[in-house]
Amino acid sequence: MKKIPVTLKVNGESYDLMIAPYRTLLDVLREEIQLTGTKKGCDVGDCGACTVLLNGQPVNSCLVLAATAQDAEIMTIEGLAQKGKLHPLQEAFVKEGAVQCGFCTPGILISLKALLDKNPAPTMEEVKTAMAGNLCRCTGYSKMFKAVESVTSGLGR
Amino acid sequence: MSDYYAVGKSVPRVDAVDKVTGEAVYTADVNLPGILYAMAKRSPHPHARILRIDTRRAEALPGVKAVITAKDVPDILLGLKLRDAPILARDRVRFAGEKVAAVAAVDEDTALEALGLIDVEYEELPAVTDVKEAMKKGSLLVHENLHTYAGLPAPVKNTNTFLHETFSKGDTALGFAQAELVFEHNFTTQAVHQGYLEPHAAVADIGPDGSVTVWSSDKVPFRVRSLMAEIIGLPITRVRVIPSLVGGDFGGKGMIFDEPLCYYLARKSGRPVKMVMSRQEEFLAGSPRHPSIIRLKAGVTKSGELVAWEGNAIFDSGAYAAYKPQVGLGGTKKLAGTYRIPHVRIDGSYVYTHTVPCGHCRAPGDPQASFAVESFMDMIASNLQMDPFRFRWINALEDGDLSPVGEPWKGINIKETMTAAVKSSGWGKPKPNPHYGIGIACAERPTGTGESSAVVIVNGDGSVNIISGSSDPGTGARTILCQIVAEVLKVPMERISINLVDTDSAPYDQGAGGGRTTFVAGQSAYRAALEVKKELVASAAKLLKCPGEQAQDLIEVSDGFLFMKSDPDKKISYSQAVKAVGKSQLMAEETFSCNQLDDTCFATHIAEVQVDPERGYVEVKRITAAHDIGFAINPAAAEGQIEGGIVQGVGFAILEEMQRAEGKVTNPTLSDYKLCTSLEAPEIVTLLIEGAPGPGPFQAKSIGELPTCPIAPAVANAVFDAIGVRITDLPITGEKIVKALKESGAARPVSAAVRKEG
Repeated sequence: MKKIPVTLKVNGESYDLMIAPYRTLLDVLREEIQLTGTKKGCDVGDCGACTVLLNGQPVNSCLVLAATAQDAEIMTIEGLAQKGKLHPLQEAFVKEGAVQCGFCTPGILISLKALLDKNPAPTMEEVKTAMAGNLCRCTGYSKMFKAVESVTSGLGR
Repeated sequence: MSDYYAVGKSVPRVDAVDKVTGEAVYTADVNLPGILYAMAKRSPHPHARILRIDTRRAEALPGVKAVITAKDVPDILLGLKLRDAPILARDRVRFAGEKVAAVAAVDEDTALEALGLIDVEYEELPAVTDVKEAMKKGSLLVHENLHTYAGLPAPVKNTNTFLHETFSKGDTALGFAQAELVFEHNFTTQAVHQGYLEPHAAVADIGPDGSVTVWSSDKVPFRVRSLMAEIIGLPITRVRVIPSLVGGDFGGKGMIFDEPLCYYLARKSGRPVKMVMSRQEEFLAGSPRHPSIIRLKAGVTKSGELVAWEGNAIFDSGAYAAYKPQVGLGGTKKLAGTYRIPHVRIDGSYVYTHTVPCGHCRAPGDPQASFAVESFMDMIASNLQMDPFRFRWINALEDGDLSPVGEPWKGINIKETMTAAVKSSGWGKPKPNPHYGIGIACAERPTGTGESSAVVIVNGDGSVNIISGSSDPGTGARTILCQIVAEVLKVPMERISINLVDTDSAPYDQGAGGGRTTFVAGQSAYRAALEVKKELVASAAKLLKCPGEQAQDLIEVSDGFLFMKSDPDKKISYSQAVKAVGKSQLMAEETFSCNQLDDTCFATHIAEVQVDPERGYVEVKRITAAHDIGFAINPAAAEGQIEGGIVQGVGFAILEEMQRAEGKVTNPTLSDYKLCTSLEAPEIVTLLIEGAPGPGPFQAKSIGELPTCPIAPAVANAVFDAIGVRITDLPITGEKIVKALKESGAARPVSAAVRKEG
């Protein structure tokens, strides 16, 4: 299939690409822009490991065609720390031991960032719902809940 | 215990920052110039003869660089012990999902298109997909040449039962004769996937001199090296395996998968090749937990003492046994639980069927046995009208007892975990509502053995490097090793470095698995650190004018300095001590190997559930988990293992099942095969019991596998407590509960499932 020009704006940088129109945002991020922090766990929208922000909304990047993301603001896990300073969620995940194998971690952090951007003081039910599309097999989620609580402590409830 | 310097503290993981920033590199992230993407063509049939494979149309597709079939790979059988699995199916396929060909192309889409252009002509054959059918005399054989296979533990012929093992103690005939009551029941458990989020991935690159570099998601890089060298016919020095971070394992990443295919595709195409399994392939052809059929029989006195016990397990191994390092599973031995029973006889059969080959899954065999034993204990208690805790308590092993099959066990503190779990849970308290239930279950799992080596280097600036080939599939092993060395040398964690190193750069390590890393790799690092500390002290002794023969007693270390206990103000830095001996670094290497260990670990879990009697849904509200851990080197990491194991166990208990029809997995997606999400995860109360010392550094024990064992029976027992129905067939789904409620016709029937004799 003929490749088409697409400009993607990822973590504030513009990338002019020639890509096949059927390629997913996930594959283009990983293979064309070498942003491999976004993970492929299922490629069909079930596991959430590939979650990125598309204009502030968390999406499974395996379900988005890259060509449709033209002009959108895309944020991947590589864009979460600003100028070498970890986002409070990242710091909390490190501190609370919320990371084990780490494969689901980028997607979960992105889902949680999306939540906190909209709702800085979520209840635990809102936190759990925001993470419900992200599978984790290692942690049992407990330490992740604790990490989020440490960021939003005193808020929400 | 609080006066430790670096252990006993929940320090952050050494790789956590890389993992939260997306910098962490997993095998699928490896990219090389000119890399090709490979995929496998798989059999749609559970059993068929391969008549012909025509790859010409696929080879002609632009972008396809290599296609291989069995004729392109060595005609050998692979296996971690029993060697029964070909690299690519040759003449015959034995399960739906078995690889028959592989293709490498410039991108995944081209590879996928090429798969459709490989023409395979099969002659479909009858398949034996039911384990009981497979055990019948005269059954169709999955492996006709079983008796010729290497690694077969005992000679057998013309059977699908490739291993039958028996353990016994006392005289069960006598025991049952003495029993006042005899109970018997059957239990079944389902196939479940390990559920690691990172699918298997491999990359192979061949150098101009024929040397091979492999990147692999396998958790045992040294085994990948030896297997690859053997397959290719090279000395192991010509195969280098570069470990990446492993995105979850749970036993599923101990056998090579696509590494040989990458190599032969690379050889044919002249380019590096990457292969990543899809999630669907993981379900069709991973190495899931064995389904089991377990029969238990117990003889008890009216006062509730166990006097005789029989257990029999049938493990459906699927089409190949290659994925099991011991041919069988440890689970057979667990069929009599953690109880003092004078007369015991248990046996296990491992049987081939034309279904997906099963392998190791977190505490291989134990969750199946634990579900049966601990459900059965409650069923007996119910018939005796005895409190399930009390029934366990009067029969529980105590320190000094032999195991149920007569083996020595060290440090038995099962009762301590029972007491702790009961105290912190809702046990014995009034039910908050009518459909709430509470259940208890106990389990045991030994600390694992094996071989590891570690090199500890104190650099000229006083910083420390650890070189270890041990792997860390998310467990925190590398952090634990740093904490151990930090404790011995009294050096701050931030001055210690441990990197993932390839098989050319690290000494041999048996790899993660079986709950061995903290003990075995830990001991190697601990001992190497002690050795290097001796050298530091000897050097400092000269500078401090301390008599050499007493230096090891008189000199102390703290924060990277050495000083005489009698004069703590006069300090020698590690840097000075290194330089004083005229070297750039001080270094020690230690190998630790242990093949036999009596040390084991215990746990008691209490599950609190809410059951919806209309729809049968079970909500696991809270798990209280008391674990005998010896000493927690990193309490947060230990808790993390327990919490993760519990939630995996909840999935096994109520959600997960690889459904199969005529041998084929019918729900090979994460939308149809449900893992626990954040919404199903229960509240978890973790209790780390540090009473009984373990064999690891600082008396640590293992923790990785045990947490997943007692969950399913604790939940089943809680469901019974909630609504009075006993589900003995995992998973405990809403349909089963509704059906059982309808059949029982009452909200709370007496445990009718138990047959009472004598």
